[in-house]
Amino acid sequence: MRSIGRRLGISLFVSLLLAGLLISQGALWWLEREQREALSDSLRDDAAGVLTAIGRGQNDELTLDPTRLHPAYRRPLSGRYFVVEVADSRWRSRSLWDATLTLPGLPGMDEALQPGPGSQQLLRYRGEYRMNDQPVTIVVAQDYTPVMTAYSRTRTAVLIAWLVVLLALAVVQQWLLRRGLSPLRQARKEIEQLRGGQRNALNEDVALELHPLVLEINRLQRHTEQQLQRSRHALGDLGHALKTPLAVLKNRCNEPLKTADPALHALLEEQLGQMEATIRRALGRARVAAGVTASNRFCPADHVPLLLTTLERAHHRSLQVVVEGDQLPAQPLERDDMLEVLGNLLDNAFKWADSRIRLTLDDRDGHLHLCVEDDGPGIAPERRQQVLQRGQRLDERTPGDGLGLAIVSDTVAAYGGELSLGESAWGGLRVELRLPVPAAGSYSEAP
Amino acid sequence: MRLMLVEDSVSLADQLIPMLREHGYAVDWLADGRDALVKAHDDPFDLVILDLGLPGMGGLQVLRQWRAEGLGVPVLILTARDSWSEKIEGLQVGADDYLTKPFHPDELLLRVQALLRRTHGNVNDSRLRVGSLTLDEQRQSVWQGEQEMTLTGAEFRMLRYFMHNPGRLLSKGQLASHLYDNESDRDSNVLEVHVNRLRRKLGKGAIETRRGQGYVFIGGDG
Repeated sequence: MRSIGRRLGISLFVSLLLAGLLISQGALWWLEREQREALSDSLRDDAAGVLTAIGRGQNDELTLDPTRLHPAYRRPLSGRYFVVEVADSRWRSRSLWDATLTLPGLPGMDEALQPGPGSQQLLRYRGEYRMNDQPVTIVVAQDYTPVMTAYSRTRTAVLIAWLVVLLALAVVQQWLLRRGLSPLRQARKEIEQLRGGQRNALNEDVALELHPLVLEINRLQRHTEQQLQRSRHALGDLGHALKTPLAVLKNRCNEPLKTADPALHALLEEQLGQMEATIRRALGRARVAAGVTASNRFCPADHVPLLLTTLERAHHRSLQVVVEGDQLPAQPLERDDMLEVLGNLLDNAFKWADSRIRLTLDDRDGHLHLCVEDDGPGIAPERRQQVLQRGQRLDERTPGDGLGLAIVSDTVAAYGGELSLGESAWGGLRVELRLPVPAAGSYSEAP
Repeated sequence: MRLMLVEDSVSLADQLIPMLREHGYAVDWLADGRDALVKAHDDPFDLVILDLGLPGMGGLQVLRQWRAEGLGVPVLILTARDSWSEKIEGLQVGADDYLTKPFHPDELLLRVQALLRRTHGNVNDSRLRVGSLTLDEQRQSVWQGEQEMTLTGAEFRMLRYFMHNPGRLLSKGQLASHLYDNESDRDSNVLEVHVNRLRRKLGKGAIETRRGQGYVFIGGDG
C-alpha cells in the first residue's frame, strides 16, 4: 500500500538534495571564477611591476634592475616567475631556477594551466609593450596550486556542511510531516474506535482538508444507525400487525372447535404454527444488526443481571443459576443481538433445567466465548443438527419451541461465529458460542 | 378480581373478555392508551393486561407514566414485540410479566393467576391457599382438606378476592369495586347474599362481619 507520508518524505528529500547540490555547485563555480579573475588582475599588476624594473643602461640599452623586483622573483621555485624578451635577449627570473617557462603564444591571460617546476600548476600572463622603440614581451606566471588546494578544501567543507544541514533538514522534515499527518492518524484511530463501538461519532473539529471526509463518515454512521432503527421498527410493526390476527385465530382454534370439527382444528393449528414460526424466524433474522455503535454495546456486567431478572420473573422457577465472567468489560458486539442470543439460550435453559443453570462468559484470543449449560434432558446427538436448521418444536409439552436456537444460530452466523451443541457435565444441554470480537486495539502505528 | 384490558384489536378483545369473565374476572376494556392512563386511577384494578402498540399513547409510555405517578398495579404486557431487548425494556419500565403474541389463552390465564398470587405475597405456591382452604382456579371450586366444594361463579369470584386478601378489613364498596366491572349492576344486597352463601359452605367463622365497616376473611378454620 502506498503511504502519503513516505511519498511526501521522499519527494521533499529529493527536492532538497537537488536544490542543495545545484546551489553549492553554482556557488563553488562562481567562487573559482572570482578567484581566477582576482589572480589575473594581480598577474597584470605583476607584469607592470616587472616593466617598471626595466630601465635604460649606460649604452642606452635596456637593462633589468633586480633590486626593483618583488623578492619572490629571487627565491627559487617561489611560485612567482617571469620571462622578459627584449629584441634578441631574454631575461628569466631567478625563481625559475633550472626550469623553463613556455610562453603563451597570444598576449593576455592564458586560460589553460601550464605545468611548472615541481608539481606546480602555473597561470600565465603575456604582456606586449614597446620601450625605446623596441618590442618588450613580459610573461609573468603564478603557481595556482595553493588556490586549488584551498578551493578543494572549501569544497569538501561546504559538502560536509551541506550534508549535515541536509540531514538536519530531513529530520525536521520528518517531524513536520508526522505533525502534519497527525490529524489523519487521529482520524484513523477514531474510526477504529467507532468500529469498536467506543465512540458514537468522529470528532468534527479537524483540519480543513479532513473536515468533509469526517462529516461524510459521521453522516453515513448516523444514516446506518437510523436505517437500523427504522427497519427494526418497521419489523416490529409488521410483527405486531401479523401476530395480533394470528393470536385471534389461535384463540379461535380452541376446545369447542376441536370437538366440532377435529380435522379443521388440526389443519388450522398446524398452519398457524407454521406461520408463526416463519414470521418469528424471519423477524429474528432481519433484526440482527451484526454491527455496533457505542450507544448500544453489549455490557455483560449490566445486561446479564437484567436478563436473568427478566427470566426469573417470566419463569418463576427456583433454579440455581451460576454466572461466571459477567464482569467482562463492554464488548464491541451489538447489545440487542447479544440479548437475543443470551435470552433465547437462557430461556431454553430455564424451561428445561431441573435445578441448575450455568452461564460462562470469557473473552480470549479475539473471541467472546459464551456457554450455557443446564441439567435438563438435553438433546440427543443425532437431533442436534436438525434443531438448528429448522427451528423445530422439540417438545409440545413446554410452551415455546426450538425456534429460539434457530434464531441464535442465525445471529451467530451473521457475526461469523460458531455454535456447537453438546452435553453438559450434568447430562443436560450445553450450548457453546464463539463470536469474533472486532479488536479495538488493532490500530497499529505506521509511518 | 378486577382486570383492565388495554388492547386495540377488537377481535382479540372480543375473545379475551368472555374468556376472562368466564374465569371469574371482572374486566374493563380500553382500546386507547390515553384513556387507560386516566382510567387506572378511577377504579381499583387488581391487574392490567397492557398491549404495547396502542393508538393515542404507546403502552410503554402509559406504563412509565403510571409508575411515575406511583401507581403500583401489577401489569402484564401482552405484545407482538418479542425481542429480548423489548422484553427487558418493558420489565425495566415496571411491567411485572411479559407475554408475546400469539399466545395460548390458557397461558394468559396462568400468567394472570400467577401474577395475582405473587402480588399478594404467595411467591412459590402454584395454588392459592389460606389455612386449610385451597382454591382450584381451573375448576372454580375450593378444597377444604380432602373435600372439594363446588362454587357458583359469583361465589368463586368473591372467595378468590377474599383469599387474596386474608385478614384484611374489606368494605362493601371495596368488594364491589374489585368484583364488578363498569358494566355490572352493583347492589350491596347481592354482596351480602354471596357472603352468607360462602359462610354456609365454609363454616360460619370463615368470614367475620364488622358492623358498619365491612368483612374480614379468616379462612376455613375460623
